[in-house]
Amino acid sequence: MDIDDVDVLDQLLDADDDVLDALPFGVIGMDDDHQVVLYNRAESALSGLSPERVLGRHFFSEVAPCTNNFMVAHRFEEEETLDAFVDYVFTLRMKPTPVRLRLLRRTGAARQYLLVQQT
Amino acid sequence: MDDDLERLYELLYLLPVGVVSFDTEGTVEAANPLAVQLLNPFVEPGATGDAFRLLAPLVSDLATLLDERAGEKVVLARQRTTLRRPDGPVSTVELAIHRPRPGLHVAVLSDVTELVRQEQELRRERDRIRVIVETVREYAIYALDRDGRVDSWNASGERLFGLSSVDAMGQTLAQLVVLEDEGTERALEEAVFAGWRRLEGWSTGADGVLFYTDTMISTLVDGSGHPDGFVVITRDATEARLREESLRREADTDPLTSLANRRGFDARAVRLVAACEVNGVPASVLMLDIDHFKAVNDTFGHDGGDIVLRAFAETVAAAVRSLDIVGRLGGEEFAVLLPGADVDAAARTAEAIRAKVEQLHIEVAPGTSAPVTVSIGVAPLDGDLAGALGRADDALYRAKAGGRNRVVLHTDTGDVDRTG
Repeated sequence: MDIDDVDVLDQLLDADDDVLDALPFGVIGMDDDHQVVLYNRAESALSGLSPERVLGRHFFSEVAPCTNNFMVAHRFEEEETLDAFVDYVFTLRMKPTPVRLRLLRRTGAARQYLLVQQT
Repeated sequence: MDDDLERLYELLYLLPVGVVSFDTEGTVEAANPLAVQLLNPFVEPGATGDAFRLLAPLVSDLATLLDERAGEKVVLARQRTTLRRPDGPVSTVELAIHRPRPGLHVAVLSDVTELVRQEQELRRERDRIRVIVETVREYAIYALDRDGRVDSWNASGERLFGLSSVDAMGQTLAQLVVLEDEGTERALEEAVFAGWRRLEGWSTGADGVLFYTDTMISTLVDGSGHPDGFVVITRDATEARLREESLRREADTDPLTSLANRRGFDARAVRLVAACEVNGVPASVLMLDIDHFKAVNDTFGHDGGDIVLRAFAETVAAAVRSLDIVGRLGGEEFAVLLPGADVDAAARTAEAIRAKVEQLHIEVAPGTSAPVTVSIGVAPLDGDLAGALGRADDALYRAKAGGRNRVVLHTDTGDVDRTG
């Protein structure tokens, strides 16, 4: 699975945890209320936060307030069908880090995804 | 240890201020997300590891600033910069840079957009109020501290009271507004209790002339609800007051003789009677009626009658003291209230009036004098004005029946004719 795959959302929805943890890019899965339901190993390594600390929390307000803006959070809230790449800067482990984000949401899908790739 | 580090990461991710530490070359050693986030749209891509470029939207030449402030603990005191984002909204970021040890710099960034908006709102509000306060005419708007002394003064007060700020500061309300009926200290206490208090009084104006003031005191409260001074609005109410007084005078005065009319006599007499009662002073009333006044009217016409009434009124008014009250109760009937006079003293006054009236030569037409006499009933007052007037009227009736031009006293043992 590659972050640029056209059908990456389908692959993610089908993948089990082992597959997700083996991915080279960060995957944050959220439910409709933007509570974190999936935090894969690559994302955990990037942020330095273990999944236990993050799961069940509201991602945009309780985990990563720096994404709670018009570029990321608002798009998840406003767009029912969303598949967009956003160049962004995360400050991971105290270092400002340029990243490429992919925002994924589809009507009726059980999960929404934020994918994070260090550039 | 890992757990500690994780907690530290989380703290930094959630910290509501932005923090960046960097060395003398500008290389970022550590940063938290908000620091980058606040500047995100304004920072060139790839600038993230370089504090000089990262903070460039807020400090144009940070490298030079570090040199200039070398050796100082504070590189930059809090400084605000307003940034307009490409998608429209304006945000204001406050930046401070400290140097905890040589070679290490810590920048702290806060989003103060809302704070600035509130401050501007507050400033606009203050400006609006200042303009109102300083431009109103005929009103003075000023403030007193908790002890009731002026602690804020402006152009409106200068205009109304003619006092400069220097002269007005520290003055008490009593010095500014002289009250007719009660102390200003009590007024302030009542204002504290009720939240506001209105009072009126005579004051000295800018031109040194007395003017009538209508003053509204509103109590200010501090955050915990305790009284914290007063805002006072004083208005020049002289014209309204004079108009009111003149209306009242008109309503209480007989236009022909300028004496009090029935209404004016009653109103003033009731107050005077009450004062006599309180002080244990005697008082008496006279009822006076011009003899054969109908014949005067018939002979000399109504104009002649009016001349007689005026001359008679002047004579009575001149014969009594200024504290006595003389009223024309109607037609040719008059009354006098004599405070401090027992029935004998009142009888002497009545007799003096009768004698003077008898000697009048009232010219009702060129070369023609009307002979005028008066009958007078006298009664002592025992607290009840209407009762005393009634008894004096009885005595007056006897004076008429006894042949007119005489004074009759009403006493417990019966009427006594003092003339004849």
